[in-house]
Amino acid sequence: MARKAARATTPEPSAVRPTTPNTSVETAPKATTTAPATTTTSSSSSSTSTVKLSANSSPFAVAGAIWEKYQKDTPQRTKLIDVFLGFLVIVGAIQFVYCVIAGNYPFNAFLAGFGATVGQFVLTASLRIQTNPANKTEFSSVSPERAFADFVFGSLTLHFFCVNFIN
Amino acid sequence: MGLTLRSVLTALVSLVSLSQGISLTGPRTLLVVEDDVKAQFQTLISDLEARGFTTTTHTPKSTTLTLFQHEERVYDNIILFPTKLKGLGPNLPSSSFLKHATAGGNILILLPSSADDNIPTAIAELATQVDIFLPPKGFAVVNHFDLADAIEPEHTTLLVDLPSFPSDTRNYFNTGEDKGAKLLYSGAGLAVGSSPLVQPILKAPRFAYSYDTKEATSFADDENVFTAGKQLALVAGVQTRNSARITFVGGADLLADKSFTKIAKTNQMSGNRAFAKDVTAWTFKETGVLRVDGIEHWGEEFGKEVVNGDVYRIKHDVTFSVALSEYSYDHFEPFVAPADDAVQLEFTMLDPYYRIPLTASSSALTQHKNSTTYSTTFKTPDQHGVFTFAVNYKRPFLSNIHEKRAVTVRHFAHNEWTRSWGISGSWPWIAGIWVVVVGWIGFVGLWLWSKPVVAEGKGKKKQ
Repeated sequence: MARKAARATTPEPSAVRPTTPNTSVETAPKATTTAPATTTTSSSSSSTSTVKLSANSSPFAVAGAIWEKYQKDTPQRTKLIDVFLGFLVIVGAIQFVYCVIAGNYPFNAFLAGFGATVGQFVLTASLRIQTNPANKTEFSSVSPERAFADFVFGSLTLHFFCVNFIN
Repeated sequence: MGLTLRSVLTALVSLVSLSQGISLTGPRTLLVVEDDVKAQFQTLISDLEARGFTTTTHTPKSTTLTLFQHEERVYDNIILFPTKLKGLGPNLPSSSFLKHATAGGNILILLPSSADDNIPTAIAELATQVDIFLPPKGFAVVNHFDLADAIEPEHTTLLVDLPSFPSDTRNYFNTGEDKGAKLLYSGAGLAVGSSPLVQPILKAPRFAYSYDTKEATSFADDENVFTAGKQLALVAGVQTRNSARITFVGGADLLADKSFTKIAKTNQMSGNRAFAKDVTAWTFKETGVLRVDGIEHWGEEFGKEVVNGDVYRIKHDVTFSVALSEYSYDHFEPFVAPADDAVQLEFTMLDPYYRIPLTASSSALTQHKNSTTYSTTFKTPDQHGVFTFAVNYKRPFLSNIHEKRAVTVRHFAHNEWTRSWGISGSWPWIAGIWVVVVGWIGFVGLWLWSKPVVAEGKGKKKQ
């Protein structure tokens, strides 16, 4: 969930720029811009946002704006990836908490189970970076289809490894 | 040719000794005795001959006497009777007795009962070498509180109970019919050192002590008392590491004809004759000799299909059995360990990893019906290497058993480990993996299914 929020905040500065959201890649240096700075400039570009934020907007209003922005500008597939990432985080957290509470015997089983979620998360995150239209210029040589094929190959290798490792 | 002749001879000799059915060492017994002393021990000697011993008599000074011929023992057993001489003859140095014992022969030594008699130097030396201490000349054991003969002023004839031992020790010295019989004893007594090879057989009564009769005429103080009470041994037995036996009898009268009578005080027969039989039988290996009839061990892996195999696996059940029998005068019978004692198995690699008691098992080893099978089942330790099954059974009055069998204990083969689903603790994480895999398949399916929508959106935005 944290990652979702972080992702959602990144396009925020670009949203107030006069350029289109698709070119928000160029705004990467500005990704560290703080929220107050964003809100101060929001009045000048309120035409592109459906929610109007002022300097003294409540945190809920900011969060709502972020959520709406995410819903509006994120491609379907990226959303799907985010859902899957959230699912992996939950499954991994459950296994880790179980290990802390119930003990780590047999340890290789814990490593395999927890490693499966971590590895799958890394592969999926890589897929998200490579297929995000916002990153198109950085990965001009990698088509989304190629990225997906890499992802499938990597995932199958990971599953094969984990099932073998747990014996 | 020579070999054949020799084996035929060996077979013949063993046949002869079998037919006589006596001492495991052999029947050839040497009596080192002078004629006047021999007359006092007629019953003892005839009892021995009745049990199958063949006796040869030599005087201590005999020049024709030799204990070894062609480096072989000439005699199986030696009895040294008391003598008035200060030294034995040139053919009987103390080293010859040790050589005899080293070659497996047994020795019974009768020390003089009279305080006036000498103990030959060779015998005193031998005693010191086997950790038995003899008092000097002139000592005698007295007991003023339990008189054997009221008219005897010196009180040097003792009434002694038959030996009794703790419940973890077999008693080979109380096999007579009358268990409550008293023994008549007179002599100087012995002190026994701390060597584990020496065991007192008969101990003095609590109030008896051994003192210097020449120095202390009116009373005895600690200057001239040798030792007293239960510290004072009257008969002591040594069993060497090769299970040869040397027995010291503190007073020869214990086995003499004159003690095989009724005791004046109790008007009962003395127990001396039965005790003489027990002592000679133990010394000459008619009793207390153990034999290992067979050893079998097998593992859980192959069961009894592979007996006495070379290889076992760590953390596997292994069964070990040893069949023991005991010699009793003329035959072997199943050996039954004393109630509070245990035959133990050691599973050793440098140090014993396990030392576990073996229990008498009901199922005998197939080919040994006439022995007790001691067995146990245990799990091999989590340690691979070359291990040894060792039965190290060394007990007072029993011949030594030290049997070893080396085996290899291997580690798990790669396909012998428990699979993950066999360990219930790993089920949550197995579930974790498969949840990820199923979730991934669902994700891939949705990804492929959702493609046209994304393409449409992309196209729209590009326009």
